[in-house]
Amino acid sequence: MSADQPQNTHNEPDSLLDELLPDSARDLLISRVIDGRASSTDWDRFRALAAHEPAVWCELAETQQQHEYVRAELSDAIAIADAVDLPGGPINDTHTRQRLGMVGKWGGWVAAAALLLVWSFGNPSLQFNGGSGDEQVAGILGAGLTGIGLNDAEPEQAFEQYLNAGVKSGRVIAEMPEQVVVETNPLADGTIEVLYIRQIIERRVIDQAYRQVLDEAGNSFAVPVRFEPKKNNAY
Amino acid sequence: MNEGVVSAAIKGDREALSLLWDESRRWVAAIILAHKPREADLEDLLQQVAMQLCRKISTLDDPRAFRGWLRMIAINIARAEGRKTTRRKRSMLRLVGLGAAQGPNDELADELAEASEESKRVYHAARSLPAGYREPILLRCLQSMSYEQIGDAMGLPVTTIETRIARGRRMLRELLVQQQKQEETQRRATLQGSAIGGAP
Repeated sequence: MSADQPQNTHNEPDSLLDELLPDSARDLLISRVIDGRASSTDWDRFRALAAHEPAVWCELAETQQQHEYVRAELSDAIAIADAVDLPGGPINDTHTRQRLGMVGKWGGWVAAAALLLVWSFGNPSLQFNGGSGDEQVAGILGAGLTGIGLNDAEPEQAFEQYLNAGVKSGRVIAEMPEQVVVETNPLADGTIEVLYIRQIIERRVIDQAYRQVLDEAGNSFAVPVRFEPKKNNAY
Repeated sequence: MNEGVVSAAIKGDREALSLLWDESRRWVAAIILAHKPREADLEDLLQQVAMQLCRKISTLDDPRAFRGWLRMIAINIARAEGRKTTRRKRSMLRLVGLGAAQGPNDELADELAEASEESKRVYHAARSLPAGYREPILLRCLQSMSYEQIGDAMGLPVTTIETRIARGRRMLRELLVQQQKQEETQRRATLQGSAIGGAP
């Protein structure tokens, strides 16, 4: 029997209702009316009760309104469930694991690490399609940059080439002006070794994003993340 | 819940498992909401449930027990998060020395101050009901959950579910009246305080 059908349609004695104390019976009647489960007997009882205590109508209205409030808020709260899909499988990619390790290590720096995105270009194995970092740079350089050959360039020159080529192709947005100092070590000759992070904002267009989730044993799983297409009138 | 689909999922049918998850994730989310600490992220906990579902579905013996089994997974994950949160809170309170200063009522008052809209106020109050009442109340607010299905998930007879929902609704009404009275008292006290403070 469906929950939304009256439970006592044949007007039989309702043992549950009869067993309960008056207050409980009143609660049960109100609840049955709200949930569409009231039988004709329930309605008769409700009317009889309301004839003696008109306040029961107010209770009914209040309870109905509260039910609607909770229903609406709950509906909003659990809407996120529609975006949670089953895991896509364990993340085995070494490069990805290294990136995850970096996030753990530099959690403060990577402020947006709460949602770590791993991407793929239609490749369910979650491998990075762009290859290693060196290959990516070489690819960009080979895509039309002229000037000093990569092998002959000083690191700073090669880096500049990468930035320029990246900006030209749309892959690089900019380098962040701040360089984060990780460690300083005084050396024997009186100089100081500084380890620091240079931050570059890159851009990619991807087919599918995955969120990394750790289970209780610390194993990584990739869970597909659904994004709603951006609406034109979003602002 | 289609037992054939559950059986297929137990045997490793990925599509059946996806179908089960699609049908279940909203009520699982409601159960997590009924048991999780307020600050815990629902999406994270749902993903943990999804992961456990994938990993443990093959251990389920009786397809008819699926709903109750999945509910227990959700509750265990939500409670585990609650224990973590409590430990974190305790250590933070030790650090700042606020252990005895702030009680559950203060936390509730803080939350209510933020929940300016009436519907949010009612929702938060519903979530503060005792667990045995708030869970069926929340599940009943899902249009797809019948009393029978709620009873199936909670392992309780329909009559018990009906009684709990009815009593839970009364408790919610009374709680809201009580909160309203407390707020009025506080407001009066504030007004009196400012009147005395402003008197020449």
